[in-house]
Amino acid sequence: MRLIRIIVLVLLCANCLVLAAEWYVSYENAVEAIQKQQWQRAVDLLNAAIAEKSDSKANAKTYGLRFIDYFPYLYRGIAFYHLGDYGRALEDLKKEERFGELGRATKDKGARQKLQQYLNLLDQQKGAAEKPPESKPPETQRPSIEPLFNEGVALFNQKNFDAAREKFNAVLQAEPNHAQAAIYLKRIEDEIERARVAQAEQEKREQINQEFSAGVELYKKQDIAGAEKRFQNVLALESSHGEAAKYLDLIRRDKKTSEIVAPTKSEPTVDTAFDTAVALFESGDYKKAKERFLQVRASDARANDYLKTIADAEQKMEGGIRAYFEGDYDQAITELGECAKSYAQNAHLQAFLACAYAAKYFLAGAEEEEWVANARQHFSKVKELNSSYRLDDRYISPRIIELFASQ
Amino acid sequence: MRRRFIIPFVAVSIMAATPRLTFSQGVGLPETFFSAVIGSGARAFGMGGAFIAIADDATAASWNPAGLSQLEKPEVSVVFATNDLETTQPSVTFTAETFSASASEFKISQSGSNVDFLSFAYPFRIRNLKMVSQISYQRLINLALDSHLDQPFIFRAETFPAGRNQPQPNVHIENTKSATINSAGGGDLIAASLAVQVSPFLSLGLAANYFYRGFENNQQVEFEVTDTVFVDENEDGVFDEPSTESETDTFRNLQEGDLSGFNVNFGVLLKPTQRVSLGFIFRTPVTLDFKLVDHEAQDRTIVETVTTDAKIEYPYSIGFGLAVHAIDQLTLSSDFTWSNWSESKLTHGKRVCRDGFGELCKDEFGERIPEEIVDDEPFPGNVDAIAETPREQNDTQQFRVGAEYVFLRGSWLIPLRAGFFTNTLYITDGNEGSVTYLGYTVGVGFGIKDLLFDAAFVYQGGNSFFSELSPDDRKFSSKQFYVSAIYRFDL
Repeated sequence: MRLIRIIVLVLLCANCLVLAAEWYVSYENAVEAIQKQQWQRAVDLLNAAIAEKSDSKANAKTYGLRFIDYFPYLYRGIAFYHLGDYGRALEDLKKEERFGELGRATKDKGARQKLQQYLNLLDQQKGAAEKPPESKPPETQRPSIEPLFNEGVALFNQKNFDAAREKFNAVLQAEPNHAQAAIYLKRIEDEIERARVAQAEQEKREQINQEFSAGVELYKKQDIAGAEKRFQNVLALESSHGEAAKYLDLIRRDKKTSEIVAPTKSEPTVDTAFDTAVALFESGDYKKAKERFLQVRASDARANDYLKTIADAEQKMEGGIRAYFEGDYDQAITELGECAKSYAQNAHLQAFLACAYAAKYFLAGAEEEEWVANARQHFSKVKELNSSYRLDDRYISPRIIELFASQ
Repeated sequence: MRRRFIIPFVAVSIMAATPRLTFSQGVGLPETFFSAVIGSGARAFGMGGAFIAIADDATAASWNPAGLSQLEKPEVSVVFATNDLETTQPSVTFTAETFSASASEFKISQSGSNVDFLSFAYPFRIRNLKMVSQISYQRLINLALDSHLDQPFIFRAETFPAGRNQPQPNVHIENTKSATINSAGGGDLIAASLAVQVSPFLSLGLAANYFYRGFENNQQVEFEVTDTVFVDENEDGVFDEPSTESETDTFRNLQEGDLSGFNVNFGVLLKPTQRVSLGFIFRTPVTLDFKLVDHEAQDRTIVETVTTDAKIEYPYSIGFGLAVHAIDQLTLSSDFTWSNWSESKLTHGKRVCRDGFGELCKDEFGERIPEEIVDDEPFPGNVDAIAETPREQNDTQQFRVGAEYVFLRGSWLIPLRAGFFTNTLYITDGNEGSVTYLGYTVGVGFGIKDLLFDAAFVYQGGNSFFSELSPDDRKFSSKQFYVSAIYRFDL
């Protein structure tokens, strides 16, 4: 009876369990995803298969008397190629070639041909910035659309969004259900919107800097009314501008005592502005710190070091997040972890670092306690930094969101 | 007189050593019946039946229900078996101080064929948890056999009369006995199984088994006995004129049995690495409702009907298996199964004998035999043929090893298999020694795409447990042939 109870308990707890599929299940699903041109899904599935069985092999035994040709690096390379990650595509295809198993295939007899086709495509892809691929597409693609699509991807990677949009629109016109083209179009819109917002922010920043500098000059020249107006303009543009507020406070105090005090003692010097920026950096408010460092970099070269640190960290964070979405969780952890050493107070970074650990944990069958402990630690840090932080359920697995919510 | 007493006693004993053709004393049951019955499938039997740690096809539930969790697609299977059993005794010779006696060779052969296993397995997922369910039929104990006994029995006794160096024949008996038994049915079970893959390294399985059905033994025994008897009545070295008697008799016996019950098998499958798997199986004991109606007839007239209505305590058993996938195409496996047959018995019941008029049977004194309580009786079949008393019952063990190598050629494959096993029966021999058969198996298959055909030949043999007088003399051998087909739905 006790055994029966245990088994019933296991069944009832079915919802609690998350299991990694067998390597051959992940592999077969990945090949199916490749056929459906679901490249990112194929990469995720192949990562899972490779994590369990890393050697490529013709006639690999699965279960019973079932044997399959297992060439994970070939298909991941193909998927990377279509995702525009030519470096990794080449790396995987070369790796598959080194295993030397393709020639022994008994079921996937077209594998060797596919490898050659994609290696040729990658050869032609060299210098893709100048010349998008025009070669004959492999069997898995529709010949009339895929060159167009590949051109769009290349243009997208060159950030030539308008030209890329034309290509993707043309693809969709020919093939309305082309999911990848639709995704790229959405990414183009996102990129354009991001650029527009960045441009507006830059213009605003320049205006603020101009107004603030003018206010300081006027204050130094004792043109208190002019300076007050300029500082008010600054606060109208950015209500949290602390330096402008300080000047206005000085002006108010001066007015109150009816004395005009030379601002020599209380004037925020370059040193004060630099220290403020450093304080912001150390508090984790990198966005404002960056703005301050940009203001003082002309008069204080030390700001450049901080700006470089921030730029490096942003680059690594971007790379880490990209690795995460490509399913390369180890790479994501490496890059985000490196970034976190100097950028620890960034909630977004901590969130993706936690997500990468959580994804590894769940993919490995929820057995590596160290990974989930790391995920929990970084999620806690996220909540500490920003209690209202939310993970985007469009991109992040519900199970990971659940783990985050449980913190 | 002493000599005259001894000689007929030996004669009777040797004749009695011939199995009596009743169900309760074993003939009609295959000797392989007297061991723990294991799983099914030509692939498994081709590997000597070492399949507990493999169990990765549609026959899995019969070996280890946890193994079902390895199936990724629905599968159906059908297994067909033929049985060819033979018990032989070359001759029996008995030598005493003043005489010797011998009986010629006899042979019991049994043969039959049946559907051994049918199944349908269906994998599914509840969220991310992989499960596989299966419904299956299995012929657990096959009694569908046609049995034949031919025994040209010649008995000679020679004495050494006083003052003579040369033996003198003083008794010579010839009789011919033949029997035919047509049996049908057996012990079947329907199983509903469920396997859960708790992790890639651990699977659990459960099979709920419903035992049902019964058997029918229809036996006809024809005796043709011609006795030629030489007797030296005066012990003067001169034999009297021989007396000759001839007799023909026909004896009919019809047995109908029913059994039903329920038990559960628990299985565990561990895969510590991709190359090694371990299996464990526990079959719970089952109390079977058992009813046996035994009609004896003389010249088509029922003279006696014995009805036994009782429970059979069917034993629990445990098994362990280890499989090593040395390379992808080569699998080595071994199993050990132990069953608690020593505790198995017939109990909680009653037995009543009625004559052709429905009245209670009479004993040799003319007294009516009352209804008999059946309690703690030995398992059916376990009765000494001479003494008509129960024999010692042993726990049984089976040790099995096997190998499978798969040749791959394009889209088709050919597996070759071989195995060896030992099979210790629960019934002991006439000297209460354990009876162990040795078995050898070979198998071959052919697979193309999602269809797999397999065939296996299983031979086992050894000294028969019927060997009351001389355990080494009587040999048993069985030749079983299995064919199976497994189809995988590529949905």
